[in-house]
Amino acid sequence: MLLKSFLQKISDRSLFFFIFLFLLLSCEDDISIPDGALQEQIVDLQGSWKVQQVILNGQDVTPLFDFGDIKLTLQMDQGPSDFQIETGDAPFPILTSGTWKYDDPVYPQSISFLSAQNERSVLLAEAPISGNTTFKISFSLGCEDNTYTYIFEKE
Amino acid sequence: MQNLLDFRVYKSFLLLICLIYILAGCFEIVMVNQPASATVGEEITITVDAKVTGKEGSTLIFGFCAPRAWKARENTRVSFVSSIGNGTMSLIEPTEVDADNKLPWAEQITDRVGFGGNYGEMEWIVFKADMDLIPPDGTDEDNPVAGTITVKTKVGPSNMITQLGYFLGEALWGYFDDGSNSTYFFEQTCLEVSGAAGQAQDLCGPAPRRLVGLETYTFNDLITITFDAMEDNTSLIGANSVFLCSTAIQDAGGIEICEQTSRTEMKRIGPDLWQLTMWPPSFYNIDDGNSINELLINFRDASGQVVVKNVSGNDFQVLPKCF
Repeated sequence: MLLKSFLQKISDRSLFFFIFLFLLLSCEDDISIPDGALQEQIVDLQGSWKVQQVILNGQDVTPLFDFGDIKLTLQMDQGPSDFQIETGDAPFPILTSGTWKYDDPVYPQSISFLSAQNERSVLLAEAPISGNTTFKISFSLGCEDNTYTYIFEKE
Repeated sequence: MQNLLDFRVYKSFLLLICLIYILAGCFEIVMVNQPASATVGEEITITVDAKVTGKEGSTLIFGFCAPRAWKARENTRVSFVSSIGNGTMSLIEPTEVDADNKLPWAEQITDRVGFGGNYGEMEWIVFKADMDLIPPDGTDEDNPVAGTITVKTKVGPSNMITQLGYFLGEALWGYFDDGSNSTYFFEQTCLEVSGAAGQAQDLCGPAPRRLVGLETYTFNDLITITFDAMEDNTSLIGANSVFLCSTAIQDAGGIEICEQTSRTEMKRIGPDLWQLTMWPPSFYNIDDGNSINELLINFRDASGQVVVKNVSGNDFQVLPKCF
């Protein structure tokens, strides 16, 4: 009888306030962020890649030329490290193996290939995603007006 | 009353137009002194003797028509001397418009004057005087202002035969539709640039057959060569197979690949239409396609006995085209 009387005296607003305070204090104790959960991951393109399609100035030129000999192997050791390239007779911006790196390891927009002979940077035509089986790069080979897009698929 | 007012306005307008055309500067190119030949990469000096026969107008416009491969915008300087003063000229932006039509100078001259005897591959670059010089009172055809414009330009890196062109106009009034306040001239004798390996690209001759699909390219690009046996009614019409016979010309000499193998066999893409795609560095087994000055090409049947060259009897010439 006394409890009922007490409750009647409390306004709705006060009741909500206490419930909110209770929930807030309860949640505060339960929120926890695992170690490393917010650490950004380096995009993983490790593996051997073959050319699936070649686009030149928007036109598919894959049927016109044999790009089948191109094999790009990207290695990673906590980040990009070495690469191996085989091209056969097909064009590619860099023709000898070396090391590679991203411009930004987490949100890369380009890849640089460095060999003893030269260094070439190619654009990532789409943002690469770790675990995907394809990625795209764009570059010029001769005249700057001509843009080549190579779509790689994982072997 | 209204009609009378309209008539007066109309009359005033006509008078103003007439006045503009009478007052605006008129030009005459008296003589062009340009060399008949040059060595690749050489800086040549050209003088253009001219007369101004109109009093009004103060800012000289000068156009120079040169092969695009010369990159004349980067390699040309212009100045002038005259009986009323001397001055230098600066390149104007391709988008800078004239006062009359509000259209870019270079675009208008290209459209209205053209490229003379050249089949193409040319461009007009336009200069404007850095300072104004006003012809004195009494300047007319009998009392012109005489002057000489000096052009120093570096010719391109490849052998070429070309006809150079010159334009004179005036910036204050702009480029009149009837051309009455401007003039142009193409030197009759084509200038020959030599000294590089390979045959000259003759812009003064007939337009060559287009063999490469890309609008612009170097020999580091993936090149697709298309041969239409029907064009010019060649002897390879009806052939069962066609092979590419080519020579890559470098400074050090030529690399010839003329064989009837799968490497040179062209793919049939239509009736009497053949195509071959190559990447020159690997096709000619060289490190850098840019070391190739040109390709000389003919087309053959499987026996190698039927050979198609251009209508002049020479190999087809394919030059890099990146500008």
